[in-house]
Amino acid sequence: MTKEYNPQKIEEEIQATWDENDSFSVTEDPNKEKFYCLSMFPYPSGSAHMGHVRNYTLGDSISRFQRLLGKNVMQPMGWDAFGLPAENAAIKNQVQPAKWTDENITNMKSQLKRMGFAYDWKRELATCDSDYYKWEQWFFIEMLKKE
Amino acid sequence: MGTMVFYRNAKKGIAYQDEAEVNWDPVEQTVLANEQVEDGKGWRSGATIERKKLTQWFLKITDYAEEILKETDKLKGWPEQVRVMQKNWIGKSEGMEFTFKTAIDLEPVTVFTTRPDTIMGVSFIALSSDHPISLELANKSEEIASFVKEINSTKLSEADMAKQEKIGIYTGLQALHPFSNDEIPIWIGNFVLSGYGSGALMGVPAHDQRDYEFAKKYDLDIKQVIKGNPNEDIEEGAVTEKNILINSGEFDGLNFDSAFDKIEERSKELNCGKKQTNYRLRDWGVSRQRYWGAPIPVIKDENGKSEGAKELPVILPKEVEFSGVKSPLSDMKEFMDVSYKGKNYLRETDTFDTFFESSWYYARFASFDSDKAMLDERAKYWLPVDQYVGGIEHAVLHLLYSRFFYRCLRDLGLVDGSEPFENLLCQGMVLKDGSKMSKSKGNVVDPNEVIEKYGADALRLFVMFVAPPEQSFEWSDKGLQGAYRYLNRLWNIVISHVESQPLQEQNFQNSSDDVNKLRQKTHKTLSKVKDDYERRHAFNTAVAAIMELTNYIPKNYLSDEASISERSAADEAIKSILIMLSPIAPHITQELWSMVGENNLIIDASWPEVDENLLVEDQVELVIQVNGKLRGKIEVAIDLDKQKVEELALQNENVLKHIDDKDIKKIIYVPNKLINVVV
Repeated sequence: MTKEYNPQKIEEEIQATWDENDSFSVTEDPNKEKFYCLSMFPYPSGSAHMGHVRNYTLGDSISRFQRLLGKNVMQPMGWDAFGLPAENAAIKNQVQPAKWTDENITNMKSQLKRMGFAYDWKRELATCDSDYYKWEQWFFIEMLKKE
Repeated sequence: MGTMVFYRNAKKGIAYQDEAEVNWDPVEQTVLANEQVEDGKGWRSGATIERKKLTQWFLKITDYAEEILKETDKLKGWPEQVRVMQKNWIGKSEGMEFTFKTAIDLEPVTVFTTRPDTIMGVSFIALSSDHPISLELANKSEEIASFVKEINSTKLSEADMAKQEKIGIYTGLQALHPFSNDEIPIWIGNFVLSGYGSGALMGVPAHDQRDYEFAKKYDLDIKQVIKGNPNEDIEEGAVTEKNILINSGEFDGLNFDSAFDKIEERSKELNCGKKQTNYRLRDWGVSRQRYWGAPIPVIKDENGKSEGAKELPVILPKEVEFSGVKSPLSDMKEFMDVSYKGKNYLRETDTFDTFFESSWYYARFASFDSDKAMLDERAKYWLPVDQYVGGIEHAVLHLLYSRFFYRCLRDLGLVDGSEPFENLLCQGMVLKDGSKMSKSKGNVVDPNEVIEKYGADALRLFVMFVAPPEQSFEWSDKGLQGAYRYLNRLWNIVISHVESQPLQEQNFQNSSDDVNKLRQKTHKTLSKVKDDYERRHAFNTAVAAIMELTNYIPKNYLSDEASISERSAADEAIKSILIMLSPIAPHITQELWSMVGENNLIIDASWPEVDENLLVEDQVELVIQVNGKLRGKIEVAIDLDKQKVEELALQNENVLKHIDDKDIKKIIYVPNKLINVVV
């Protein structure tokens, strides 16, 4: 049964297994010690660079280690999606910032998945989504209020 | 300052409106972000950028400055460096505020100083270019007007302001010293921050180096009022250390603390000053005159009165037309015109600073699908974040704003506790050819290409193995290849293991010393790696220890000829290696985990129990000295009694040579450390 180490093949297979089993989906469990591990979410600038790889490998290794210790580990990921680069790209290349951002998110997400990070993707959020920013608008109006 | 305030009376009104400076591009007729200004010029127009005041929204982070400052030291899980940066940014300083009457019919000038003990050494007053007196004088004098315009044309950061050449212009006005009633000249200077204190400062050239240089340049008095060290010469530079007061009349002979008290007391009597705590931290201006951001949910009625939007969300239009740099929102009538219950309103077209979004996203992950509330009970279960990982470039603003927001969320009852991030790890950079990878430098290594060639596990292993996480490291293809080679070696070892005589279950009966040695190595590695991962985040040394254990497994333990205990020890070592390595290289370890016959996923395995008995050293290396000099070393059983150790020591050839034929006077034995033969 001599087999060669073929990382591309086994990595894609195992990532598919994790997806099928929802391996990193987590819910609250009062009987377990929780561990919330978070890496700073990226600005979706186009594609992930080595700085991201290092940052997210650190966060992922800590998360996976804590899980081996029996903790209820949450590791989410999202997109810091508003900001100037999208607007500058729009001005230069006549592309809608929303479209530019969406495409970059799609691209970067597939890169992060290919790295095998143990994210609970059901929690994914993009700050340019009105389901997200409506709550900070609500919060701002609270901050305006007298008491 | 012209202030439009609608909510400032509110007890909890954290948000308010005020005027703030922006970068104004006179050609594009729009506001530019700091990043769109290059060397003082607009990035597209090339026009010289002007400073302009606009009414904007602010959050009163300063209300929380003291609390945040105090609790910074409690963040034991944060790097010291980041705590210091946070404290410096808040920049609390205790001092006094003095009021200088002006000789003519102008408002008195108020200054803040952290060195009230130097009050008698004041020889000029300097105003910022936008101080009310500066502005008034600019209306009267062309010379002053052009000087003020020159300073105002460049919007400088505080750091740049400190570096630039100090220049000033004399206003022709005098202020009266509150104690001596001497006339003090009033200047306008380019080094006076408009936001700090009151936009004015007292110049004490003898005891402040910046004031000293300014005084030398413009030939102003240098009056020493604090005693210097014997080797200090006021002709050479300012005396900045605190010491006894001199040339200060009634305050002579006092030290800093008692001078502070006495001067404060006299100031109260003369009604010319008071104790004051200042913060460098300013309120957070959240308005951005940009399109791609969250709309600030505010509308203005026909009288120009602002209030919160009536309906949420205020959705940002996704299809817009750009004409130049200007935000397209301000051209969209359908966005701006609001009517509600028969009244007409105009919608705010500014958007939030994007730090607004990142100040609370970590909380929303807990309540990600809540459509009833910003956060729900789940946020209280998950928060605070136990481990936050990110770049040091966010050490100040993002983390400070998050700490501020978290307290606001707390005050609304949405989260428990006060701090959002329990532990913080700031990773170093990835360098290539000595500098940070960047497209413009052309020194980028594309992760996709690496993965295609070596796989994600090799890349992950390399970045974790190459350096401690906090340190920057230089990219190395050789290092990457080394990680890949190690994974191949591990792969082959496990293949050999599973291709040999299968093991029903681990059995360590009749273990030889060598088997025990491997077992000890396995358990020691488990213990070390756990500590490295958990407490020190020293993934690099952890990986080194795992590699060492991999190399330690005797080849013959993997073959059919090996005994059951040998096969068992190899099995134990291999499974331990797979679990220990799985956080870093999760794919290969999973594949090999299946191969060694484990049916569950390795992510669901538990960290192996460490057998404490196997951690105990049973051999110890002992130093043998003759007259205190090292002459040999021996391996002995731990806690061996003195007599046995002496026998062994006196058999050592080199020791015997040094004893020669001299008499042994005494033998000193420190158990498990050394034995010293005195002759």
